[in-house]
Amino acid sequence: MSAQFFLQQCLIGLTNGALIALVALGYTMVYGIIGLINFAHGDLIMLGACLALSIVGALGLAAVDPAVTWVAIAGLVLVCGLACGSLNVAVDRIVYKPLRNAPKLAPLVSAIGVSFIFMNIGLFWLGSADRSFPELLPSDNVLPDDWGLQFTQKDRLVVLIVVPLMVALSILVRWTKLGKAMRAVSQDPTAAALVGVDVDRVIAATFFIGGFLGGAASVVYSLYINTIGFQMGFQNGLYAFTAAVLGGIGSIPGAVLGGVVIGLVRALASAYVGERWTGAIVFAILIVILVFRPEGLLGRRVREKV
Amino acid sequence: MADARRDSAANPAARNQSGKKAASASSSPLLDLEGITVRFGGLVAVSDLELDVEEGSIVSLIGPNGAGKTTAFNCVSGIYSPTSGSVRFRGKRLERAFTPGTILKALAVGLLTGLLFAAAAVDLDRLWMAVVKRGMITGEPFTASGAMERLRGYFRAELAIDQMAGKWRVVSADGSDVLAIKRDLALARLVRDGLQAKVTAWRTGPGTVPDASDLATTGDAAAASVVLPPVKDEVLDRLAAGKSRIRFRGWAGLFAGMLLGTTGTLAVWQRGRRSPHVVARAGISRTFQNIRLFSNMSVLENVLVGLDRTIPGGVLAMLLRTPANRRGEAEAKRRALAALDFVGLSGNANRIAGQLPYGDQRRLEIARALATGAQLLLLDEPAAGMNPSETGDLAGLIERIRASGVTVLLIEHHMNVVMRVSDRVAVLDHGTKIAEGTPAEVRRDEKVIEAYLGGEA
Repeated sequence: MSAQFFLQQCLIGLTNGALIALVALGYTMVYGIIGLINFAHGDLIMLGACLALSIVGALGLAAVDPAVTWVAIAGLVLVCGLACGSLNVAVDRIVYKPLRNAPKLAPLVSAIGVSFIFMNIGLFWLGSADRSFPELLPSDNVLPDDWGLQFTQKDRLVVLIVVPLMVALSILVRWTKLGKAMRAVSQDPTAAALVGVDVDRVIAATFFIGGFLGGAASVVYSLYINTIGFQMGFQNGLYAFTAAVLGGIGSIPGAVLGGVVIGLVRALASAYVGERWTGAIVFAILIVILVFRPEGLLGRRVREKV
Repeated sequence: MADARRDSAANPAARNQSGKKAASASSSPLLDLEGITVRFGGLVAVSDLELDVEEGSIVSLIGPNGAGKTTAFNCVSGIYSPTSGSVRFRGKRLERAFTPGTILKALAVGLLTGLLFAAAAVDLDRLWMAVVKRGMITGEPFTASGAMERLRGYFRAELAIDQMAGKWRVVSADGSDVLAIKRDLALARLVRDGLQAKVTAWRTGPGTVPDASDLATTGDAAAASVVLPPVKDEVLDRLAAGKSRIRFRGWAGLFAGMLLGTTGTLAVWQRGRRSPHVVARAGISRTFQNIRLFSNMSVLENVLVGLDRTIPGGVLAMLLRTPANRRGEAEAKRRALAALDFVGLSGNANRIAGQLPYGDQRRLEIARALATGAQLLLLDEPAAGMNPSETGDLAGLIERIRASGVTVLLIEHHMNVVMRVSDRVAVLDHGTKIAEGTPAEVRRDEKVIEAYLGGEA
């Protein structure tokens, strides 16, 4: 078990963690603004992957020239992001908005319902068996050979998509009036409405952004893992939700940190303990952390929520 | 966006001017509560409250705890809808208007719901199978017109061909009846045509004229040479009834869905008709009994939240920081600082709101409310928890707010504040207004003394 092996596992963990974080942001933003655990978020991402698969199939993107691949991937991210964002807004309008003043359990149960509806649509779309997603990117190493580390083009893709999106999100929340309105609504929706903020529009914007990030995540996931299925939303959603809670649900930096921590733990656990035990270890660590920091890693110190 | 810009342009700059004009010209009050009743279940919080607030005045609402004062405030600011009665501001009800667009939107949602219901009623899975998948199995190239033809075929309940375990099957349109199994596709097609003719004849009956859609599918000469498998009478009955059954289901689903979707949308719309942000944008702003600041944000940001709708441009303009967007932000910041200066918080702009001393938090809440360009300010117990010297400052602030052209409606327990600043005082007890008049009149009122000191005494 050399240092090199350890570094390699960390690299894998970081890449996986970035992907988890992108999904976790969708959970944490919606929770931060309306206090709803959007159980349908994982399945939204599954639908994004369905759409990506259909687009790749219909346009024959699998056989396209490598020079154009990056343009194709950027286009996929944009299209799936817009589609998932719009779908998320539509669900908010139809399902959650009429329940805005209802007890918290009502929208929660509705979210579980939406999750099943999405899963059924996915079953209809993909069929019951897992489908393989075309390899748009080769798995060759982009690091110099003498480093002895594997960092493939796919890993690079994850970083190249996830990091800019997160930077853009932080700028949006920190510096724009929309971000300011989002922070205000997350702290006190009534007071925000009473100074003239259109709370429903701010909530819709939050759902759109969360959905857009989810759509981007679905493309990255499909290209990275290369297998999609109608049940993929459940497990991935669960890990991402765990990441959001670990980091402090409602906190944006917390979701990123939680994603990275879970990615690292998963990679190291499967390398040093065994693949079978990763789930148990991740959740055991989650429990230990929550015992000492019930509000999550960044839940209180960075109190800025969205 | 458009209306946000309009009222921002009309607001604080024009406020003083329009205030004076309206006060001298019109006799209708700025705020007019008419027969406001609020019930929570069996409890009557406010009962038949009448209250006029003249422009440029300071009106106080006083009464023992639980008298319904804050509930009345919540009705004015749109947090609750009154059970009955109306709130008018400058003669307008401040509700979202019922326009043709509202009905159109409801109808559009209804149509969408109707289509979903219809799709479910005619069995979406089987429809999909009939229109798209079966074509793929039989190897026909997919064309829009071909799909359209198969879609029509499904609604005519025509027999179709699909594949199972390498053999071709003649099945009913929804796939639930299998009538024949053949190795050869061409033969299966001939059998299908022959059986279809039989089903059509069974439906139309002897001596009747088949309609146009039936003629299109009646078999040709080649079909006559094929030996058709026997079909039981009850199966023929079922197949013949398929056409009317599928059409009935489709229409019933569409109709039920449209009805549900349209009425549901209208019901939800009606519930959210009076929303706080519409009221706030019209020029009514308020503070809260228990301070409700955005306590994790800076003092300046707290005030800016109410001014952000005056900044032009959408998300893209914000991210790109266009010149108009930057000018808007600079102007909003200038106005926010002016509001902070007005309440005496100018040195604290960059502190975190939650870390301000209690009295300053109250004043920040007032600054935030004023900065929205309010013409009517509702203050809910602004002096709660203040010492006598702070209370005196607050009374001075309220008078300066009035002097700047903003009308004030005040809930307060500190009688020295109420008696000093109010033009009129209304007294609530158990949700009912028991007295109204100038401070001096109210102070002498028997019923008021009774309410405050207890009736039996």
